[in-house]
Amino acid sequence: MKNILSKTCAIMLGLMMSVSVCLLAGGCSPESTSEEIDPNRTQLYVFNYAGGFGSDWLQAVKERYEEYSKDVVYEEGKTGVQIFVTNQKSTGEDVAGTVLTNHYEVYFTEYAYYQTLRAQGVLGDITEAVTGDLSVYDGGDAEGATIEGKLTDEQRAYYGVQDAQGQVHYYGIPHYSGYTGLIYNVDLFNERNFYFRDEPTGDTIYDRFVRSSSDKKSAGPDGKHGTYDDGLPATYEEFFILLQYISRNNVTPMVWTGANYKDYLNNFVQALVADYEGLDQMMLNFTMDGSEATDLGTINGDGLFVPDGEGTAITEENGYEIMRQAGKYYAIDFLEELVTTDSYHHDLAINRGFTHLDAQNDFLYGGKDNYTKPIAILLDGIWWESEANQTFLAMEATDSANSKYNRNFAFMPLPKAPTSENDKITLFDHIYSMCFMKANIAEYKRPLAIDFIKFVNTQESLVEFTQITDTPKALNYTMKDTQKQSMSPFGRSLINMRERAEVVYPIATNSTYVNHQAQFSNEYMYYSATGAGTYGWIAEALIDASPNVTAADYFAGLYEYRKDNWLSW
Amino acid sequence: MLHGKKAGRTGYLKEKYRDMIFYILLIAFPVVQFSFFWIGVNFNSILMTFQKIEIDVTAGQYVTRWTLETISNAFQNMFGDPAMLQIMWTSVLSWFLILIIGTPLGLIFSFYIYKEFPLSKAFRVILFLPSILSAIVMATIYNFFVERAIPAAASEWFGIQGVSGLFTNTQTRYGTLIFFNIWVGFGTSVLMYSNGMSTISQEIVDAAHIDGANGLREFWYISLPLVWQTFSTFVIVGVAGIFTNQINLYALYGGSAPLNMQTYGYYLYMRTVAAAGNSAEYPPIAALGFIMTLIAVPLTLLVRRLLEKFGPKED
Repeated sequence: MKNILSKTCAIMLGLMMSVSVCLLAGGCSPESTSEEIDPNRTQLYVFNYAGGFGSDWLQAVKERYEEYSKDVVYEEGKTGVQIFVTNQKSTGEDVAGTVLTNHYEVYFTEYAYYQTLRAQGVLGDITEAVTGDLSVYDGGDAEGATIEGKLTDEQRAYYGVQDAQGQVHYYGIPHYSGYTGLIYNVDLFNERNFYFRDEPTGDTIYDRFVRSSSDKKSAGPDGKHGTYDDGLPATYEEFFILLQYISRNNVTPMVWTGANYKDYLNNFVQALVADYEGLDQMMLNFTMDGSEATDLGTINGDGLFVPDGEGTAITEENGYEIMRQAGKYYAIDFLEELVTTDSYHHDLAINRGFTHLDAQNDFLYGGKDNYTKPIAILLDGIWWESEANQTFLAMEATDSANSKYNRNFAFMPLPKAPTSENDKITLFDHIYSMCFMKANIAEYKRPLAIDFIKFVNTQESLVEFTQITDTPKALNYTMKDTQKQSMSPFGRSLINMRERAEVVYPIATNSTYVNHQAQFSNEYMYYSATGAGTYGWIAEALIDASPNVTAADYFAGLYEYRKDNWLSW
Repeated sequence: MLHGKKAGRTGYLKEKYRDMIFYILLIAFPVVQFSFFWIGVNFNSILMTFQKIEIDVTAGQYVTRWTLETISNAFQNMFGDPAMLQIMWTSVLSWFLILIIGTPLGLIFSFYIYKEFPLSKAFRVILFLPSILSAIVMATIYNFFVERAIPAAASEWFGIQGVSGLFTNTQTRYGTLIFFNIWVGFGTSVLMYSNGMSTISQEIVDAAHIDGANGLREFWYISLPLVWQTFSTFVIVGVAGIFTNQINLYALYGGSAPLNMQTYGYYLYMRTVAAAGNSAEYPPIAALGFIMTLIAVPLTLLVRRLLEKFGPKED
């Protein structure tokens, strides 16, 4: 009996060790997919980061591409192509170590740092795809149109790498966009008349807002009547008046995730700064190319921002000076008022048990169920609709008027501080999304991967992506109004704004940036040495610090911290 | 006779040979693991301490040069930056609090369970629960409980309005974190201590009671000395891990733990995450780790020596 027991134990121990060794070696990791490999076609293995933007867009482009290339031969004895998609939630950083050894050949992922991946030797040369003519696909591109032509100047400078012979090579291209901003409930705004009147009728707060839809609204942030933003707050001051007005109407003005309020609000501050500064001044934070920063300043004895008399050239040696940008001061000041005034936001806006999904739920259910107060504005990323999809579906099941195509939400143009000289909308993309091909792809598959990358970036594919995800790709393209009709109201408002806006992509090729990219993220960039200690999250300092930290303190501390630590990271 | 001697010697050698094979098989797996996951990993980190790595954008590759600048900068950061000093203070304080609160409680609970006092089985389940569930599940439940359930209970049951979550409230935040760490730490320590106590001969305990020892004396003079080696191991491992312990900050806060609650374990982890695989950003992190090792190694040896010297003896 004892023998049997010992043997059983030995076998079990052996099995357990075998399983653990097997798992450690990675040989038994299952891959969830329902698609069978078709031995008669050539496979292209594609990795997709299936986060907020999902994978429906890739399924759609896969089907079209397989149809397009059904008679093409890439491999002897096989005709046609099978795009084999694997969806996972692994960022560029996560996959970097295994790109060369696993079987995926083309990647679509986010937080993929181009120069880092390139230095790791995992990126294949896709110059042919980026500079090749897209019109061959008959996908709505003009003759001679290329992916390169859809890049901004900053993107071309970043992704296009010159070799010793002066030839430009591309090893990756931008994929989707990631902006943080304000989403407002247009139905609620219309119903409660949360729009500024063109001319106030008196001195009270109620006199500043329209009473009915026939009242003339203010010109809004763009300064023009009869446009999409009429009646919306144009300045920071107006924004807070709007929040007060909303609150007095028994509506919760704003909501955001309490669990991640720190990083969401840092991202929001960065969005405000970009919108205040405009593209050129904002890019100085990263390029440090010797151009002049025109609106630096300091805090005087009364705690007020005082602009420098003259501009300062920003280089890699004095890059910390850019922390004195006026836009940063005004954005932090804006945040201070927002987070320290309880009536402006949801009760759980800084509660760690209140997730981004909870915030989206409350935003959607607000005023629709019997216990959630209506909420006017959600602070979130542009991918919020995809994340809230389950809630939309659950609500739609009881009433089709609640589907995302019938609910009227829109991306709000940010208000500006009166001193801003930027008369455009400037968006800040912080998601570092990228498409690339692995460096050691089999030679016979290289033309296929190149072709697929081109196909994914034709006008037709870009439009399709936008229609499916209700968000724009990080490339320059426009859509016809008829193409926007199938999108949700939020998606339409977003793509319309994207078409009007300039976008800051926080990328640069200088040595300081490339070698210390983390220090230019929305967290590390806002480290501040305040009198109450060092903080990396602005909202945390403004809410928690003891003794109290004001926006002026935080702004002054930004410069102090950055200067003291510059290049000693 | 000679033949018998020869056979005996051969048998002995065969036995030694078999023992050796058994020993090699037994030790091979941990040795390989140690070689990969300690020597391999740390050797590279030590090298990085004396390196500066930069990306050559044109060539698209890393360029490495040897320098003392990295460790010098790390040293200045560690002892010159108030934020870093705060992190060091939090690391030491957290270890100390968990030790002085968690260890005695762990011993008392173990003794309680070992003596099979009332509800000891229920205690055993409650204390082991955090070890059975994954850390993320525990952290999520705990987060929700202290942030949402406690304020709701205060309002619903006691009519107290305006109670904020225990993590939201700056006054209760750190205590709530330490409580969580102590609670989730009980599983292993109670298991080890109570198992150690269960090996104590019943005759010794009975003899002590006949001599007039009460429960407290039994604990102090019999149980504690017999689990002293286990206790020492926990303390020594704790000291060695002062600068690597995250105190569950990542599970509870993700990437946004308040700076004044961060430990070096968490700080280094988050910096490594933020580096996003960029080797150019690793040397300063490696240098910080190296300096901490220089502090932790002698400290650990000292604590071990003190525990050996001043701890109770089983005899």
